[in-house]
Amino acid sequence: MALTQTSARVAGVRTVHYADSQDRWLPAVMVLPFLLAITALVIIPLLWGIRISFTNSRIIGRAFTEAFTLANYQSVLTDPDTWHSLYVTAVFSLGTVIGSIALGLVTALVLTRAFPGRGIVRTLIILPWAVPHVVAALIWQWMYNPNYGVVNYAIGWIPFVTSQPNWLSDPNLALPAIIILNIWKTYPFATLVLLAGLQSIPDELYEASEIDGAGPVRRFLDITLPGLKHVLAIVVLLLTIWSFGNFVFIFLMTQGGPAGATNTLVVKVYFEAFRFFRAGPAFAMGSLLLLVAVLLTLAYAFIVRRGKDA
Amino acid sequence: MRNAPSARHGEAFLPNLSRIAGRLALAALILILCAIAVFPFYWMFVTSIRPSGQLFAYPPEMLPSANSVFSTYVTIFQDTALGTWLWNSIRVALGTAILASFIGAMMAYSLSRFRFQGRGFTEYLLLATQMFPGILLAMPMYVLFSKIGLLNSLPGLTVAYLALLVPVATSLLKTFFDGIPVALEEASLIDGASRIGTFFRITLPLSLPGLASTFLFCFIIAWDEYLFAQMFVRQPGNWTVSVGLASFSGEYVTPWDQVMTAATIVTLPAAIVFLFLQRYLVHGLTAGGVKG
Repeated sequence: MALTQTSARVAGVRTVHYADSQDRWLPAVMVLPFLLAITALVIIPLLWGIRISFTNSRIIGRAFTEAFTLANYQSVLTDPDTWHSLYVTAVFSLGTVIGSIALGLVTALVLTRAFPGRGIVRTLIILPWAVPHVVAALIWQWMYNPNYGVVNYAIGWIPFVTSQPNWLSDPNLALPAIIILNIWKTYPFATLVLLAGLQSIPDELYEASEIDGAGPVRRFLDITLPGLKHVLAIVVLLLTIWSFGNFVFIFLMTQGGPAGATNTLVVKVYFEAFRFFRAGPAFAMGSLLLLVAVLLTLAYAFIVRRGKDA
Repeated sequence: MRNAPSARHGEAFLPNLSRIAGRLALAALILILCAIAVFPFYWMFVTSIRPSGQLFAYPPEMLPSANSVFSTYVTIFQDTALGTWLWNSIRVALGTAILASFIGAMMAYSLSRFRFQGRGFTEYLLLATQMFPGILLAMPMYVLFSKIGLLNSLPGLTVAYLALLVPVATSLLKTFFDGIPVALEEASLIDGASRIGTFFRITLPLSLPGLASTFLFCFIIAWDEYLFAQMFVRQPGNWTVSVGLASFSGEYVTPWDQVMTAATIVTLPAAIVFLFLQRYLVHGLTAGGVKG
């Protein structure tokens, strides 16, 4: 009994106002597996990664010398490739956010209207979100195939276009091609959240502005957009976070190439560690990314909380 | 059959002709939107049943070939290790989903019912772990796992997935527990039932739908996961299905009919579960529990 009470205190558990004796130890027992799992599998690895970032480790997983060094951070921050990767990541995220929200908003607006078969359409539109990432990458790789792909076939229909672009090998086209895939994968999420936002705008607002003589564009700008502000902020942040961390699509479609055109930060970190045997710099970059991720998460938490208070 | 004129869009004041034009435009837009969502799936399936001799035809045939072959769905299990990979994925996903739901349920119940220090921090931690790019966790975990010999094994991968799924399960289940009135439990406690008895007789039965959807969602995330699986497991015999699938492409000549057959098989369970869960997911996402 003494033991369990101690563990209750260790877990930071303070029980309230119960008479049942189980209440003293039960909360501790219920919290403990979670604490163990998160400590062992999240907190310790993250701290370990930060530690490696201050050593001159080369091959990932091998012993590293213990000497403390800032050289990794110096080399990462002075490497022009890092800044190029930051640029690629920003374009990838921004392109995804804009495209996904535009397509999602159009879809959501259509779905607010009553038409026969709306339920089926709503279900069909969720499919891209449901498909496993690897499958999505493979389907689009096949569609982008320069010789036999449907994308180039469709492009052939456009008048005056005769070229057969090699989407994933052309430095100018590879990034847009993967952004399109990412938009396709993420826009159902944007649609569903925006749809929920649209449905929460009271009809009376539209009716009142109708009486005041406002046209559809005015109503969209003055009622719909302000009404969606909070939901839009959530969607923008989540899409940014997901695009920022996306590994599968780029890894499978282009491996960061051609000529670094799709080398986002996350992909660069991976190759530094596993292909170029520069584990130290890789972990230094990882630690910097961690900082960015923490900031984005704080922003997200802030926005969600403000929405709850409002 | 006339719909009531919608006051919101002012259609009642427009002449009939432009209303018909508007209807047609809307119908066309709906069709385009459906095509965007569905065409890649259609193309996956059509490719999967195309005879391999007709794969590399130009222009590509839009409709299924007259001599479509479904035999690929059988031969793929003989020609490739797909069966092994599916079985590996099922075991890993089941194991993680069970453990994550179990650990998550206990923590979610505590967060929802008990007051203790560090609750705010825990909720932030839950959010943050779901937001971090996977690679930030995968790399240091790879180092630690290599030290304790957990690499290259399915149990190791199962444990690694707990890092991703315990936070997801906890967040999802907390919203479910929050929705169950405390009054029900208090009534049971006043009637003399113990805490544990109350949990098993009142709370658990009421939260079964929540537990089931959490379990399914965790299963699908593990089913879908690629980065950890690709990093942690090197031997093809231990690959999960996403790693196995990815290995098809980039071969000298990609056998697209086989790839798309396997892709269809892998997609089916995920798509079914997702359609079933969509209601819960949107709520969970906007309320704070997240995983893309």
